[in-house]
Amino acid sequence: MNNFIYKTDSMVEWLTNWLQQHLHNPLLVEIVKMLVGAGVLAGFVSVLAMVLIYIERKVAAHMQQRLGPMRVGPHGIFQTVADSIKLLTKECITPQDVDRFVFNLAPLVCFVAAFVSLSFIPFAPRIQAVNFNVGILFILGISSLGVFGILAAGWASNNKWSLLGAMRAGAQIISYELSAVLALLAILIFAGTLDFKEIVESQRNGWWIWRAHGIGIVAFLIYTIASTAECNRTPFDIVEGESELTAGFHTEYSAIKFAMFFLAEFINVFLVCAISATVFFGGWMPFHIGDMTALNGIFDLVPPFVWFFGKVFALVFVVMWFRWTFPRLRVDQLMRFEWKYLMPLALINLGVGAVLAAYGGFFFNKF
Amino acid sequence: MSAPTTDTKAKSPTYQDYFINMGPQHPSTHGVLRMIVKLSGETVLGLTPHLGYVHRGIEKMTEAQTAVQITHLTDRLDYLSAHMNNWAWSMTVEQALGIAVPERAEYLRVIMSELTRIASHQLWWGVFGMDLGAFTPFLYGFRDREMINDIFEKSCGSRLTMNYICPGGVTQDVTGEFEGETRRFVEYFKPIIEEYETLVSGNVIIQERTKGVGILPADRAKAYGCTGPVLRASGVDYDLRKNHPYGVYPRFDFRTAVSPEGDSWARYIVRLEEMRQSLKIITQALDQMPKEGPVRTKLPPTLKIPKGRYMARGETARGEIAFFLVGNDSPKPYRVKIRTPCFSNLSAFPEIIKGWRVADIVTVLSTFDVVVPDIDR
Amino acid sequence: MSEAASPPPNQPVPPAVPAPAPVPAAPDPFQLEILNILGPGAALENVGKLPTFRVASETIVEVCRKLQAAGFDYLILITAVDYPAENRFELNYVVTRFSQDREFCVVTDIKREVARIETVSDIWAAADWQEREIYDMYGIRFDRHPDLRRILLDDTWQGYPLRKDYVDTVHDVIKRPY
Repeated sequence: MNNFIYKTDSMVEWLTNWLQQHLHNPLLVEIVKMLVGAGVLAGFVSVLAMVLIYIERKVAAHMQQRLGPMRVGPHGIFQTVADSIKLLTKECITPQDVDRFVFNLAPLVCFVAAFVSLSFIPFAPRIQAVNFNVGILFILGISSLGVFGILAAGWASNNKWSLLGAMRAGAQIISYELSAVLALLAILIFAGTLDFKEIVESQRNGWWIWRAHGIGIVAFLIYTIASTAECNRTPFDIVEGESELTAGFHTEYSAIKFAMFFLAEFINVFLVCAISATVFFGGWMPFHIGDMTALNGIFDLVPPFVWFFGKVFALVFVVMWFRWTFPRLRVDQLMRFEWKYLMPLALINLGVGAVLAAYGGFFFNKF
Repeated sequence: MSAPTTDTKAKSPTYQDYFINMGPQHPSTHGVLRMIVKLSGETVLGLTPHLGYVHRGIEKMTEAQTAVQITHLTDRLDYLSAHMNNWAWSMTVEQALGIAVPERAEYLRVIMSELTRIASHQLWWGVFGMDLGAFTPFLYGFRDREMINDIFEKSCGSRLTMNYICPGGVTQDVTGEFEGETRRFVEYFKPIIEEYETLVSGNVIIQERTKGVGILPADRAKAYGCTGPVLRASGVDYDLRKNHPYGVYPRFDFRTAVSPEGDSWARYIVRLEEMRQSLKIITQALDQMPKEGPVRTKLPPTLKIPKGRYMARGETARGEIAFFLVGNDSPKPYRVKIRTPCFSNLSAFPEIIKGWRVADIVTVLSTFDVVVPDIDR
Repeated sequence: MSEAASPPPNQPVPPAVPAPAPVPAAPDPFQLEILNILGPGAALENVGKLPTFRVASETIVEVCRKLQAAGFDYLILITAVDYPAENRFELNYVVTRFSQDREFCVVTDIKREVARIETVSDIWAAADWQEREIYDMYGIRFDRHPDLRRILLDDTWQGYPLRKDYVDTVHDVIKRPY
């Protein structure tokens, strides 16, 4: 296992030293370090979004008995690159009667919210842009900022369809946020921490999804449903609902501004799956069963980042699977489902979980 | 199921009705249908269709063309029921001129029409899924429709506007592979309908979205002259193939798909059942069809339509198409009125959509299965 | 919208079509039934294949009410035919029952310059849009109609295209010899 603890600390140390030698100003050094971190993350995000879009298209295609992109590069792997270049070089149209400032700000808000949240995710031991002792709380707060971007986009577009979409988004995301947080809380009670790193460490002897009795499974199901809704994905994509609202809040956007919404959507999908993988499936922690050291040793041979990305992409696949299988709910059915079924269930789950945690009724060290 | 609600509270001094313009460029209006929707929140208070975006004046054009030339125009009415439109017009002309149709041609007409009905319902099924937000059924529907299109391509040389059935029979005999290919399609498609059922019908969300939504009561459906699956889903057992038999339909054993509920779900299952019945008809027609023989009666070089009124009615995939023909002893009709199913079906739509949500406009319109060129002519 | 009641002198008038003369033929039981329902004002015309009953235009609502009371619940179509030479529009109401396998036509004449008749949309809802279409294409006004607007053409369209004397001034149509 120690083989795979990456020596990121020494890299950071080296960078800090090098910067101090050349800049001689501690504040400047910190700023440059932050910029480097953000740059690395930005590069990662761009590549990740392209990969996710490619996967989405291929998954969709193969579920629909077709091949998907095949022309640009072998099996069309450069198709999303070509699409991105197209999107970035297109003319950026701002309609005449929009609220210009808000209109231009909205995609940034969406994108930044998704982007910042990603910096708290531990991809592997010591690979985490920011470590923060209330990381999960912070993520939940920041990622809900994205809804402001959507609301602003719908309002500023000066388009009735966009406004309908934005209002739906506001109602939907805020509602489903509740269930998502309640579901996560049930697990956080067991883990006893809000720090991502410690949440992962607490799963050294087994993942929370089964170690927390039924609570973990129920919480996972609730979180999966609620987070799908938060990402505005089918069956909860009433915000965009292309057959009803044509495109919802981003109807009037084009080129790079549209690309930002698009990017934010895929990053959000990755983000909720990453949170899910971290909280329920142990993040980068390999599959361990109690004290069966021999078996655990075999699993340890797989590098942690493979574990992490394997889990995340498996969950991403499930979310994509939803999208290409389910139709869309109607707006009132959606709200009824949340407030009448999902949230009470999450509350009960949390209550039962709290009782169990208080009386130690769960397996800490055994499978 | 939420019952239809009507808005009563929105009467504050600053209140303004929220109007949205749905179409003519909208993904779910299936063409260029435009509707002005009056909303309160998401609830529909009123809906006004504005038609005519693909009005081509076909009725005016008919006055300048001969009976055979008009057959080409009928393809363009409801392009998904091209064969049935051809057939209805051919029947009108045959009735006016007293032309007999060879038996083999009669069977070919039935087979082609039923294949068209299946193809049309396949496309509808796919689009219905897409309107409800599920993209996958669309491609499944098109996958199977492709096989029918291939059969049409081999027999008629065309895939959409076939112009195959013509006054006096059909334009040409089918190729030798036709029977085998059609039988193979029937065998292939029987289990596929069950696949359709498992993919879409059993889905809880589909049922939530359709059951009890957009109920069209039988008396209103009759009053508006709704026909086809829309009428039959309201519990009226009325199918021209049974109730006003034409061609060789009386020789086949099939039943009319009827469902009493009148909601979107009923319209959905009626169409699925119709596909099964069409398969039954095709098999029987292939068995009974004379293996050889003429397929077209020799027509005089000019068809003078005698003085008087003639009318023929046919059951398309969407309902009843009727051609009302007034002749005046000249090759060109004096007046042709085309009664199209979608026009009448759509006229019932504004009434039943009141009180439902924006998303239900899409659902109900989809189950009405309108084809805009058929409405606008 | 101005109503083009009579054709301008420079426009071609299509060839005259004489009104179909009634051909004496023995009415079958179905036609007798309809004649009974319609009463003495109706005359059977057996020209063509569609049984046709001619009634006076003032009685059309009364006739349609009688038909509906007799169970004719299905109005297949309404259409007008223009006979400029005889200065009349002919309105055709094709009616049947959902339980019947035969249909028939009720015909009435109205003067071209009057171009006005009572609506039957309160009897059969199907008549609503059909009458709007006739208004659109022929300029025939339907009294008491709830929503008499153009339906297929644009609201600003000039003239009524299905009239035989209509000349398209908007589109430059190439006149072909046939």
